[in-house]
Amino acid sequence: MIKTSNIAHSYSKESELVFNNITLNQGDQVLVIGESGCGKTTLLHILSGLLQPSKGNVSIDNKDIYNLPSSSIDAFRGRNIGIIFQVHHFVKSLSVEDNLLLNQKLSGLKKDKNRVCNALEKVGLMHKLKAKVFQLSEGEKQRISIARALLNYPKLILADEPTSSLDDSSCKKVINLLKSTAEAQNATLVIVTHDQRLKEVFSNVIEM
Amino acid sequence: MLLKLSWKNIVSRPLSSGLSVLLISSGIVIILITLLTFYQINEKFEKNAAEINLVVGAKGSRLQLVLCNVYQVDQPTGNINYASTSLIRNHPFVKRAVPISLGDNYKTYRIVGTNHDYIDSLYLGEILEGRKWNQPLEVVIGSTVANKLGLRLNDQFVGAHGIGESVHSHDEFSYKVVGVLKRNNSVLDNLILTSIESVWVVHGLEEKEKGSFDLKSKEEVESHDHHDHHDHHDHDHHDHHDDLDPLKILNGLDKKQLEITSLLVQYGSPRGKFTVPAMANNSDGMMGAEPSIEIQQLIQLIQPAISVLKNMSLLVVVIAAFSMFVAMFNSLKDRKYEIALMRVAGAGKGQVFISILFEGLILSLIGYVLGLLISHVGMEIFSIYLSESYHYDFTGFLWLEIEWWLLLGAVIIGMISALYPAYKAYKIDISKTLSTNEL
Repeated sequence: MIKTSNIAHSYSKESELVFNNITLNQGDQVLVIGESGCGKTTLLHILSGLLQPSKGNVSIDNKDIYNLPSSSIDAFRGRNIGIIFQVHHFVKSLSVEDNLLLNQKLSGLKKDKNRVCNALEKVGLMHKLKAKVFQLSEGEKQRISIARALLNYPKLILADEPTSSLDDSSCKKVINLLKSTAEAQNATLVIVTHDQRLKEVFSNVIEM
Repeated sequence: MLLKLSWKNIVSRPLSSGLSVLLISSGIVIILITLLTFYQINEKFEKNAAEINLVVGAKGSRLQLVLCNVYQVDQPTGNINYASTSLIRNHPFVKRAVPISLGDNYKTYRIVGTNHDYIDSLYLGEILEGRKWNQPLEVVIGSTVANKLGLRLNDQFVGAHGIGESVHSHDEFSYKVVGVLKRNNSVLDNLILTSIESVWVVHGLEEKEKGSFDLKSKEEVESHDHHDHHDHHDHDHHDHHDDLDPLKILNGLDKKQLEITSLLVQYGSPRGKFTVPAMANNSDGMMGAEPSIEIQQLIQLIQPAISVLKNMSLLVVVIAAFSMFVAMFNSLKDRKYEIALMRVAGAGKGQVFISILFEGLILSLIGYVLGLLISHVGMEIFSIYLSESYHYDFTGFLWLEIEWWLLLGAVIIGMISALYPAYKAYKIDISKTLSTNEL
């Protein structure tokens, strides 16, 4: 489903991040672990079509995504990839419901309130449907980020440091939620982190 | 959804959005009130003088002569002898010469002595109820006079001396309303019209009593009235006249001494323009003034003021555009994550660009609508004041074609202000933005 070949990226002339080739099948769950600054987030952005690598190819569902026009990459990402970022940003002026509906709309799908409710129920925050973003705690924001990423039933779920600021109990809950949801939707799950606690939860670990 | 997002973004920063809207609406208000006012002034200038080629009156200011006798807004320059206008009245190039005589008012509405041509031929008025006058002291009233003063057919009232507010009444005579005119948006609406003989009767008696009569401003009349008041006491004013029959008074007047305020002339031939004014100007105590020339000069006189107002409004609009630009540009800094998130969710660069343009558009449209409302409602309120103070009817409920152009201008300004912020949003580096861990 995902295949990278010889990808490398350089932010400056002096240094270049080189990544090992990755091949993942539909439904795989993989942990990419490494120290800060080793290029984990860069890899995640490359896999999600947000950052074109300086070298190499990324193929998802047999499509070389960086050979697609910019607008097609955006549309492809919206429909097929759910991303959970390390910092949980939302459109501050909108409610939780409207943030999720906006996500649906921008991905080219019809607005479906039932799906929004289902996603929020999965993360246990249905009661925050009408809440404003500023009324949410950091933990709630994280769970709503997960709901947003899962909303369109993506084929690929990418998570950037989803547990770095969580205690053990919360860490376990979040990872279980991601794993079980990915499994239920038969989505491929890629988590990039420096959190060593997660090593024991995943059988497929890529060290950077 | 993009529109909703743009709207929510505008509402989420009420102060900067409010300032932008306020500035745009201020620009619109200045432009529109100026245009509404001068459009209506121009329209009235044209309509009221459309059938009048020349005003012949007492020597003085030509503009004053026109303003007073055609537009009924200024004081008379004086009186002229009616008999001495016969050469002009009978000139072969003159189609129509309508005398008017001012001097009295009823509750500040001018009583104009004239003939039926004033209604039928000069101002194209039509009778709504009743008829025109047939004898002295019968009046026909304009629609505004009827509405504001509540006068109806067969009502009677006593006129007061002067053409503004006055404390001195002609208690000896009462006018009777015999007709009400249809509204026709000319000076007729605000006038009380009677035969010229009515004025001669009312003032002729006074002339006999005091030796002379002339037309005075409110202040002059008031000071005079104090003086007269004592005289009236001395003469036991109300009981002094044994015979108040208008026809008898009229017959008793010296026809050669009768005066009018002016003669409104309509040429029968274009050649009249070259001979009749000169005739008036060469007569003793008389002059001729052409309304079209005088009004043109007046407009040229006020044109710089209009230009200043227009330029001022343009400056305000430019400031508004700049304020919108700054507000949106600054808000982009706070919203770069939101924009990056929109891109992550699948929004194309074009959609992001359009959503920012929408914000500029919405702000400018709100400013436009607010400006429109303030202008029209403000003009309507202002027109009440104008109507009460000057007896000139203006309205705020008037749509000018230029308002469509103003709408287009507002849209363009909104777009231009939002263009660069939209471009910056279009070019945003999603990966770089989302890699920074700021909240």
